[in-house]
Amino acid sequence: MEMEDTHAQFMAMMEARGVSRRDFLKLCGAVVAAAGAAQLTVPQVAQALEESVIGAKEGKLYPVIWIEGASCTGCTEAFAQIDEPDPATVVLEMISLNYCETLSAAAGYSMEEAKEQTIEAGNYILVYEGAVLKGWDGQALRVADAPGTEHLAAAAKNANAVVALGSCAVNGGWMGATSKVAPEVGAMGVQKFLSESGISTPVINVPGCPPNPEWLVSVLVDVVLMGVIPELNSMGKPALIFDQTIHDNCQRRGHFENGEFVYQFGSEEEKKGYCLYPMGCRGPQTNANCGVVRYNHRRSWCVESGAPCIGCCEANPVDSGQNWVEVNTPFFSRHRDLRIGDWWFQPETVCYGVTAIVAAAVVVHGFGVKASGRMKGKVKMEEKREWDAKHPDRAAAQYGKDKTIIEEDGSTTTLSAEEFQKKMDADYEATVAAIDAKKGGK
Amino acid sequence: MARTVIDPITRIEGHLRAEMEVEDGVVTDAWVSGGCFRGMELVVENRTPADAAMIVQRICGVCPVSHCHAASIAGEKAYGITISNNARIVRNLIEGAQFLHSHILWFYNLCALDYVNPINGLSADPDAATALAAELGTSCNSDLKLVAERLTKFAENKQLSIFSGNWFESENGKGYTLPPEADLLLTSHYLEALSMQSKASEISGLLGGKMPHIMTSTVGGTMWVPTEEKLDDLWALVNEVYDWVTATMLPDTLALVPYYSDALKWGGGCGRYIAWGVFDNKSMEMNDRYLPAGVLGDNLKLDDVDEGKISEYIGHSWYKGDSDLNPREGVTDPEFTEYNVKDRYTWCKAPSYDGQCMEAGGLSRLLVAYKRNVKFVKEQIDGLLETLGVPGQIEVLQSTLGRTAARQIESVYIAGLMKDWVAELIEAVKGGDSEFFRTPATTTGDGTGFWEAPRGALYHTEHVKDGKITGYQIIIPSTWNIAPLNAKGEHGPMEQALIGVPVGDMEQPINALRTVHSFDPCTACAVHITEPKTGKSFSTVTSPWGVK
Amino acid sequence: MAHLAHYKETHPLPFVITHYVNLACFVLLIISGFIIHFPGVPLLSMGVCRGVHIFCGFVLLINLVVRIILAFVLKSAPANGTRQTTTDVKNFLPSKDNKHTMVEWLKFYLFIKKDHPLGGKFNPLQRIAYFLVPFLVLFMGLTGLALWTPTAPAFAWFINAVGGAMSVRIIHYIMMFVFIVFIIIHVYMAVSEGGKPMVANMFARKEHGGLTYDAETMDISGEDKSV
Repeated sequence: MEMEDTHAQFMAMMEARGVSRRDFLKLCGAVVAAAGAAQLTVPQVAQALEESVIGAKEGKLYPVIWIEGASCTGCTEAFAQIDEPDPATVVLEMISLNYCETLSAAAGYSMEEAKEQTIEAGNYILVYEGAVLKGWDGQALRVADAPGTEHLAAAAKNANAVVALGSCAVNGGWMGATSKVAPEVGAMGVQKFLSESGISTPVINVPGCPPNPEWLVSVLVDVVLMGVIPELNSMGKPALIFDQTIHDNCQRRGHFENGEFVYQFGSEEEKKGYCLYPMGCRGPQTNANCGVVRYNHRRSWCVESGAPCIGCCEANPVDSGQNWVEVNTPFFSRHRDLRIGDWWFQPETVCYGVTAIVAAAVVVHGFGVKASGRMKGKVKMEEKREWDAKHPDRAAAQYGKDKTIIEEDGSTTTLSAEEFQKKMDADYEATVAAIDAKKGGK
Repeated sequence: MARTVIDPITRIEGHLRAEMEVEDGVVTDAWVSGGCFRGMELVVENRTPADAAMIVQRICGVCPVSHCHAASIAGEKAYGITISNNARIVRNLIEGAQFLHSHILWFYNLCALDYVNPINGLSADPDAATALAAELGTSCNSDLKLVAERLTKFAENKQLSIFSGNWFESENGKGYTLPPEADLLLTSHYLEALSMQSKASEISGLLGGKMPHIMTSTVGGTMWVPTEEKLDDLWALVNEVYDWVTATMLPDTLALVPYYSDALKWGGGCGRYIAWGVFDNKSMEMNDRYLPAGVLGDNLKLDDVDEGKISEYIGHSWYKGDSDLNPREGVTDPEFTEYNVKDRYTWCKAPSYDGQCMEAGGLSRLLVAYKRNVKFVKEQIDGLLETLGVPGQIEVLQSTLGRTAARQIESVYIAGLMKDWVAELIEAVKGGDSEFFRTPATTTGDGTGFWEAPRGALYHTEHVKDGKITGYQIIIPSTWNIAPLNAKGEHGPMEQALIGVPVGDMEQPINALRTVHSFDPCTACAVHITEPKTGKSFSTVTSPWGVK
Repeated sequence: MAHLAHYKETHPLPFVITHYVNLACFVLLIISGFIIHFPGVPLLSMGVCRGVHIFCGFVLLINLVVRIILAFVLKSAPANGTRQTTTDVKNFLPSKDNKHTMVEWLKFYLFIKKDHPLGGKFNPLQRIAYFLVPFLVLFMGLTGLALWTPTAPAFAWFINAVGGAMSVRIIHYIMMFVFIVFIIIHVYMAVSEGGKPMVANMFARKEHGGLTYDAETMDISGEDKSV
C-alpha cells in the first residue's frame, strides 16, 4: 500500500516535469516488477529486537563499542582498509560492533540507546579513537548534548578493556602539539584521562597516525579469540608490535649500512630505493613494525613509497607534550625544533653558534696572551695566594720556609724565603729585559 | 510544532547534530551544530610548509589527500614554484583514488543504509535478486545465495552489530521501501563496496605509502618515483576499480529512484554553489582543471572565483565577537558559552561568498563543470536527465537524491580520467621525463591553495617567513555546508536543505538523515579556527591593531 | 722562571695512556659521528662509521672505567713542581690548595690579575671541568647506548625520562658539542698555559725544570735546574 503511495507521488512529480508514465516504466519496470515480493523479516531478529535495540546481549560475537573522540575518523578509515579478515567479516562474524559513529546504521537517540544497552549488558571492549579534550569542561567535544569526556568515562568504566586507538587516543596527538590554543583545548590520552578519573579499566595503547588496522585486529584476536590482554610494554603498547623500530625492519636498511642515501626527493637515488635517512627519516627512533605489516593490503608503506618516516607512532601516554608532531617537526630535518619562548630553532643553530663563539674567544684570548708575553715568561708567580695575603691568620699555606735550589749538576743551595723572592724578582726583570731587547732588536 | 533532534548524526566523519522544528510533518526550521573544536591552524604555525602538508591531513581521515594537496599548493604559491608534469599526474592519481574511495565508501557504506535494509533482504529470493541485477543493468559479482546465507547466519546469532539501533522500521515501517530482492542485491554491493573502497585506497597506498594520511605529496612535487613494477600494479588497480565503478554505481543509484522518488522533491538547499576546481590539467589553471573552478550564483549564473569575496561570520558560533571578515583578517577566540539555537550553537563558523552562503560538494563541482562545458560531465548529466525524462532541467539535481546521484556521475568521470592519467604517466616516463620534485627558490611569501576535497571546495592559505609559517587559514567544504546562520540571518545550506523535508517519525526522522547524508558532511574538517593576519595575540578578543 | 717544573710524577704513564686513548676515541667519535649525522662521505659508509663509532664508544667507556679505578689505585703528584705523590683521585676533588683561588684564576685568565696564581697541579676551574668529564662521558655513553638499542627495556626508563628517542638523539648531539668545546679550550689552555714543557712532558715524557713546589706547605719550595 505504502509502496503504491510512494509511486503515485513520484509519478505526479515526474508528470509535472513532463515525464510520461510509459517513459518511467521503461526505466524501472524491472524494479517495480520485483517489488511484489512479500516483506518479511527474519522472526529471530524481530524477537531479539523486542528485548533491546542491540539484539541479543550475548552470542557468538564479542560486543565492541567504538567511540570517536576528537578524531579525524582516520583510525576508522584505516580499519576499513583491512583485508583478511575484511571489515565486513570483522563486523559480521567476529565482533558485534554495537556503536560506531561511522558504520552504524542507527543515528541520534537510537545510537545512544544502543551504546547504553551494550554498557549495561557488560562484557565488551571499548575502542576509543581521537583525543580526549578537556577544554571548556569537555565541551570542546560535544556529542548527544554532553561533553565527550562523559561518554568516555561512562563507556570505559564497565568495559573489559579500552583500546586507545591511534596516536591521538594514546596521548592527544597533534592536538597536544605546541600552539597558542593547545592549553585551552586540553588534549590528552585515554590512559591519562582514565587514571585521573579514577577508572581502573586496563588500557591498551595502539599508536600510529593512522594505526595499522592489523594492529587493532591483532589486539582483537588476543582479547576476543584468546581471552587475554596482549603483553604490553612500559608504555602500555603491545610489546610484540612496538618493541622494535621501523629501522629494525626497514627494507632500505641495507642501503643505510652501505651508505647509499637519498639527498633529494624525486631523485635518481629515490628511484633506486636508497635510504631516506638524510631526508629526516624517523625510522631509527620510531617504534613500530610498519615495514613488516605494511599498509593498504600490504601494498606499500611510507618508506617504500619514497617518503621518510615522520614518526607518527611516537606517543607517550602520560605526557601529551611528547606527541609525534611536537617531537618530530620539522619532519624533513634530522632533529626536531627546540623552543625558547617564541624562538624555534634547530639544535644545530645553537651548537654551531656556541662553538663558534668559544673558538673566536679562544683566538682573541690567544692574541691577549701573546701581547702579554706570558707564554714567553713575562709573568711573575705571586708571592702568596690573594686570599691568604688578606687573611694571614687563616692562611691555608705555610709561607716563609727556606727554599732549595737544585743546580744543574744536582747540588743544592738553600736560600731564605726573602732571598729567594728577590732572586725570582731579579730573574723576572732579566726575562722581561731579554724579551724587550729581542722585540726592540727586530 | 515540535522539535526533533538527531545527535549524534552517524555515518559521517566527525561530530554533528541537527535540531529541527517540525510542523505538520514538515521541517520548518533547522539548526546544524558541529560538535568538536581542535585548533589545527595554530598547530601548524611556526612549522614549515612541508610539515603543514603532513599535519593538516590529520584534519580529516577521509579526505587527507585533498588537505595535503591544498597545503602543498599553498606552499608552492608562497615559494613561487609550479610542480613538474610528472608530479601533477601522480598527484591527480592519488587524489582521484581518494575521490573514488571516498565516494564508494560514502554511497554504499555511509549513505546506503538510509535506503537499504539488509535485514529485509533476508526474505529475498536470491535468484530473483540476481535477475533483478541484470534487469537494472547493474553488476552482480557476488553469489547472492551465499550473501543471503551469510546474512541469515548473522541474523540467527541475534547480535545486531553495526545494525544495532537501526531505523529500518522508522515511520511505522514505511521509511524503507525497497523490495527484499533490491535490498539483498544492494546489501551485496554494500559488502563489495567495503572491499572496493579499500581497493581504491590501495592506489593511494601504492602512490602515497599509506592511506589515510599519505606521505609522498609535498611542497615542490612528489616523493614517489615510478618504477616498472609499481606502474603495472597501478595500471591493474586502476582498471579494476574503473570496471566496478562504471558497472555498479550509477545503475544502483537509478535503482533507488522509483522507491525514493520524493527525495528528488526536497533537500534543495541554498541553490548557489562554489567549486574551487580539482585535478590539474597541463595548463595548471584553476578554470581549466578537469573539474574546473567556478561560482554559481542565483539562477546558476557562472562566475570566476574571487578570493576577496570570501568571509567568515562567527556570531552564532562559540567564538568571541560577531565579526564577518575575510579569513585572512578574521579575529577568533574560541569560547564555549552554551548550546542555544537562538544565539550560539556550533563550533562551525559561517562562511559566505559575496555575503551569501554557498553549497559545496560533488553537486557543486558537477554543476560548475556542466556550466563550463566539460564534455563528459555535460553528456552524462544530459543523458541522466533524459533518462529521468526531464531533458535540460538541471534543477532536478538540486535535491536530496539529486545530490546523492551527482557523486556517482563524478565517480564514473574520475575513474575514466584515472585510466588516462596512468597512460599519460607511462608515456611521460617512456619519453624520459624524470622530474618529480622542484626545490623552492625562496622561503618567504604568501600562498593560497584552492582545491577540492570529495566533500567540496577546500581553501588553504598561508603566510611563510624564512621557511616558517606565520599564519595559516583553512576553509573546508563542510564548513560551507553545515554553516550556522550567517550575518544576514540566513540559514546555512544544510539547514536550508532540511527545511521542507517531510518528517513522518519524530523519533527517527529518516528523511532528514538522508538529506544530511546527501551532503557527505565531514565535521572533523569543518570546525577549526582562524587567527588575525597580524599573527599576534590569540588570547585577546581583538588584536592590538584593532578589528578591521 | 715563573713556571713550575714538569715532572713525570705529575702525569704518570698509565694516565698519559688513558689520556691519549681518550683523545683518539674523541677524535674518531666526533668524525664518525658527523658522518653518521651527515652521511655521504665516499668510502666511509654508514656501516663503517657506525662500527667505528660504536667501537670507540665502548673503548671510551672501558677506558673511563679503567681510569676511574686507577685514580683510586695509583698515585700522582698533586703539583707540577714536585715528586711528592698522593692518591690520584684527590687531585680531582676540592682541596685546601684551591681554597679561595677560583676568582684569582678567573681574573688571571681574563688579564685582570697580572701575577700567576699560586697553586698545585689543577686549579679550581680545571678540577670542575675534569671532575665533570667522567659524568659527561657516562651520560654520553648512556644516550649512545639508548640510541644504539632503542627498544631495549633496559633503556626504556631513560628514553621516557628525557622525552623520547628524539630527545636522546638531540642530547647526544648537543653533548658532542660540549666535548668539542671542552677539547678546544683544553688544548688551547694546555698549549698557552702549560707551554712547550707541558706538551713535551705529555708527549715525550720529557721532564723540564722550573720552580718546585711543596705539597705540604703549599708554597714554592725552590727551583730545579737539573732537568
